Amino acid sequence: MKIQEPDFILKWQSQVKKGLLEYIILLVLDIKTCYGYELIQEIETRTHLELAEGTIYPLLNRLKAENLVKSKWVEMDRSIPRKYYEVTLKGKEYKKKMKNYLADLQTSFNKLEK
Amino acid sequence: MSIQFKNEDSKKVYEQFLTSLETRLKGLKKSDRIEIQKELSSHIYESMNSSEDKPELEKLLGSIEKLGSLDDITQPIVADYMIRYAGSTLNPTVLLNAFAANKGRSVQRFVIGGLLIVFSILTLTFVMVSLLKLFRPDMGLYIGRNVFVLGTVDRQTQAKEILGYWIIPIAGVLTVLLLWMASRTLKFITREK
Repeated sequence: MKIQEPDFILKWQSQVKKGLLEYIILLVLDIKTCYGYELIQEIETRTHLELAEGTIYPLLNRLKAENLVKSKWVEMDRSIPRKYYEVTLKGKEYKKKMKNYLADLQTSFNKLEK
Repeated sequence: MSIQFKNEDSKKVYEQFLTSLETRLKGLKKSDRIEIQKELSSHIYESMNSSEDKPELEKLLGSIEKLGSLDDITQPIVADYMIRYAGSTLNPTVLLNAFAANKGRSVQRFVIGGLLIVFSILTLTFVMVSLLKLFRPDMGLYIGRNVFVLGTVDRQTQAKEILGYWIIPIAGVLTVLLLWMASRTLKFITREK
C-alpha cells in the first residue's frame, strides 16, 4: 500500500518535478528520438513520474524555440503522422551543464547534511 | 490530417475539442495553430491506440482527460509565441497582446510592467498635446513653481511654456522609445529565472 505524503511534500515534489522536466526531456531524447506520446511513456517508465500528459508540449515548444531540440513530421503507413523530436548539439551541451549543476547541488546538500 | 471516427458521438467530442483548442490559440499564425492542432491530435490518436479494448468514445474521452487542461497546455505556448513575436516588432497591438498573455508571471515583473504603463500614459499625453498644438498654439508643456502641465494654463498661472513646437518631434522620439522599451521590458519580465 502506497503511503500518502503530506500536502506540503506533495506540492514541493510537484515543483521539483516541474523544474526538472526540461532536463528529463533532454535526457530521454538523447537516448532515443521520440514523438510526444512516446516521450511521455518513456519518462513515466524510466522515472516513475506521473505527468499530466499535455504538460510536455509547452516545454517541447520552448526547447525547440531555444534550439535545444528539433522536430520533424513523419508520415505513417496506417496511422496519422507523428512529430518526432531529437536533441540538437546545443541541447546536448546544455544537458551536460544541467547535469554538472545538479551534481554541484548534490555536493552542497551532502555537505549541509553532515 | 485529423482522426477518423466511426462513432458520431466521438466525432462531436473531437470537434468540440478542436474548437476549444482553436479558441485558445487565437492570436497565433495559422501555420502555428495547425501545427499544435496536428500534434495534439496525433497525441490523442496514439493514446487511444494504446488504450485497452474499450468503446471508441470511452477511449477518446479518456485520452482527452489524460492530456490535462487545455489552458495549461496552450497558455504557456501562446505566451512564449507572443514574446518571440513582440521581440521582433514595434507593433503596439502585438506588444499589448504579449503583455496580456504574460500577465501574472510575478510581482516584480508586474511592477516593471506597471512602470511601463505609466510611461506609456505620459507618452500618449505628449503625443495628444503635440497633435493638438497644430490647431491650438497655446497647448504645450508648462513648468512653473508647483506647476507641471501638459495642456493649457490660464494666463494668471505663473508657468512658462518650455518646449514650444519642439514638443512635436519630442513626442515622436518618446513614442519610438516607448515601443522599444516595451519590447525590451517584455523580454526581461518574461525571462525565466
